[in-house]
Amino acid sequence: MFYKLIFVSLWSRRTSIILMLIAISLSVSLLFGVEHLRREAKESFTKTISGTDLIVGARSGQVNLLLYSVFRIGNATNNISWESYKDIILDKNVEWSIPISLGDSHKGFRVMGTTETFFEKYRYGNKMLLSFKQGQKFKNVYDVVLGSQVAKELKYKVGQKIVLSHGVGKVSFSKHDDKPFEIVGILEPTGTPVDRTVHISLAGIEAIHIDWQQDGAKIPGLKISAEEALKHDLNPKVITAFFIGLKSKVATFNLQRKINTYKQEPLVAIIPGLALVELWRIVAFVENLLVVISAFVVVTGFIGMITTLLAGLNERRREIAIFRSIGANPTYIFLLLMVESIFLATIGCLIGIINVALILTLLKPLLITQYGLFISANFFNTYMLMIVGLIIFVAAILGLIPSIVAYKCSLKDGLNIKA
Amino acid sequence: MKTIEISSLEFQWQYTDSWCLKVTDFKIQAGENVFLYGPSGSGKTTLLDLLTGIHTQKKGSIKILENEINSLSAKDRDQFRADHIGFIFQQFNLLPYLNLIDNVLLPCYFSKSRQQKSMIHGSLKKAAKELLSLLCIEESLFENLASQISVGQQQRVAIARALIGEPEIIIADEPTSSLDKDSRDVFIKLLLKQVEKSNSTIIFVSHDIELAKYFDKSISILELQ
Repeated sequence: MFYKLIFVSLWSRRTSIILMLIAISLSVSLLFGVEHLRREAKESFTKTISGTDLIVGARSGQVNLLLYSVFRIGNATNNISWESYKDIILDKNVEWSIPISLGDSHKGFRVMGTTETFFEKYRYGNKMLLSFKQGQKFKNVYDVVLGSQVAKELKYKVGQKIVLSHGVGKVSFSKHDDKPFEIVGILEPTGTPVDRTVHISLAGIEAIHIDWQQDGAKIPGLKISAEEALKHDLNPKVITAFFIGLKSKVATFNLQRKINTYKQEPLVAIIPGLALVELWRIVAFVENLLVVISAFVVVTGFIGMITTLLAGLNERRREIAIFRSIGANPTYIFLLLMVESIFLATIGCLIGIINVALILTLLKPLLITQYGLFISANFFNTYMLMIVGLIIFVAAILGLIPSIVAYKCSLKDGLNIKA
Repeated sequence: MKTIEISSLEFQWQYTDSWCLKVTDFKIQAGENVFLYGPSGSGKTTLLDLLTGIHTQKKGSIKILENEINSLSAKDRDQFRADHIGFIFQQFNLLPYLNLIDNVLLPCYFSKSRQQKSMIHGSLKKAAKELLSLLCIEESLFENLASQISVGQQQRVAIARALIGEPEIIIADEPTSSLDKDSRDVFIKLLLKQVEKSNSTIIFVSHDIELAKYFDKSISILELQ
């Protein structure tokens, strides 16, 4: 009967109750949505690279090195000589290494020169390897493998020929148009910067720069055709950075120190995990702000609920007098109001959660295909459960206000209906 | 047996020093029907609050059904009211979102004894339906919401609710003030008939002295003081 009274009473006030539930569920959706996206973004961010123990580049800040080597943002301060690279990977703890060479681009997408090891050892997410949607690894000097986003945006297919540009600007006036590349492979989407990268071999990088000076201008009068270039020595002389995988993680700090104090060249080695966390901290301010804002929206939603309940209470004083006349004690009246608040908060939360789940499920394919964002639709976990608990707890605390008012009314008014 | 026995009662509101209700001697025998006349401001409401155990006095004694109301805890007073008193308000007696039957059965939910007494009719629903029929409510309205029937009908449903489970005392606080003269007469006759049937004692409070003719005994609240 107690619950029946609550439900029937709520049903009789359904217009304002439904509006109230919409307000609560929207605010809860916002909080859950923001919180989920934040966690997913952090997750996918920190999983941009995995399985790599050290990243080595010319001496600079660790965030800078991480940005250009992994996120293809910004530029290297300096190059590393091939000899230093060869020397360092001789270390007995090194299991594999991937040298990379940056500096060119194709229609705004960065070009990365690397070795075949990249496709075999580079890992992202949960230690996932790269896989091919079409075609295969590059074999020849003028072969190119595209990230999924590059192929998608530029509508490229395997077999097509493309021209790379010198420098990393969106619009480049100096093109390597004498040495076109053939697309031999397109990678599956990864949700990492790999999707936006054009991969060629280190020999390819050497070949397109064979008639260029170090400072980035064509050597006047020197023209070496694509065919002729193949006859030259295409072994790399410099690279931008390299990734190292170790046989045992225990050796990480030793090798890092060894590289950081490398005598022949000023180098720096960073641990990707730590650098990612440091980089995330810079971004974290904004995401924390978002969460705080949505938490305030939720509180606003509940204050709205309490306001509506309080406003309705004046009319319900008659009801309270009737309950008192048939022997209900003030505690009963208090509980009636209290359970009502908690019930509304719970239903509001549930609708909010269903909203978020629906929206994520509907948007998931769009996010992956359009933005290469992997957002899991399964956002419910113990952490979210804790937030739900917290929200309902706050609602209960706020629900005390109308409940106590009703309790006091029932004591003071007694059987008098002051309409 | 005396249903109500008040002696040397003095009651004063906590924060108003000027006015106080005094009742030196007031007795109502079981089965009596009493008209309690009181113009507004005479302390009717206060007296009813004391009789129903909503408030308690500091001085004097109020015995209802041989129980000293003052000595019961607040919770026990509420339970006592649920078990032994049926109350009829001036108007707005019913919960608008419940149907007539559920409204009539509300007291049974708060009082085991009234629930048991109602079960004699077979089921609670049957007991409610019988009472409603006796009070001339058409059966087609039984499942209607209380907000959908007329004020006259609402007041008659209120009688049914007060009488369900046959409580010893019925208190009606100006129950006819929202009715016109014709429905007022019908209302009082129906009320008294049913009260007599269930052997209850009724205290009918009104400022309308004209109604005194329907009752065995008529007392002015001013005379009590």
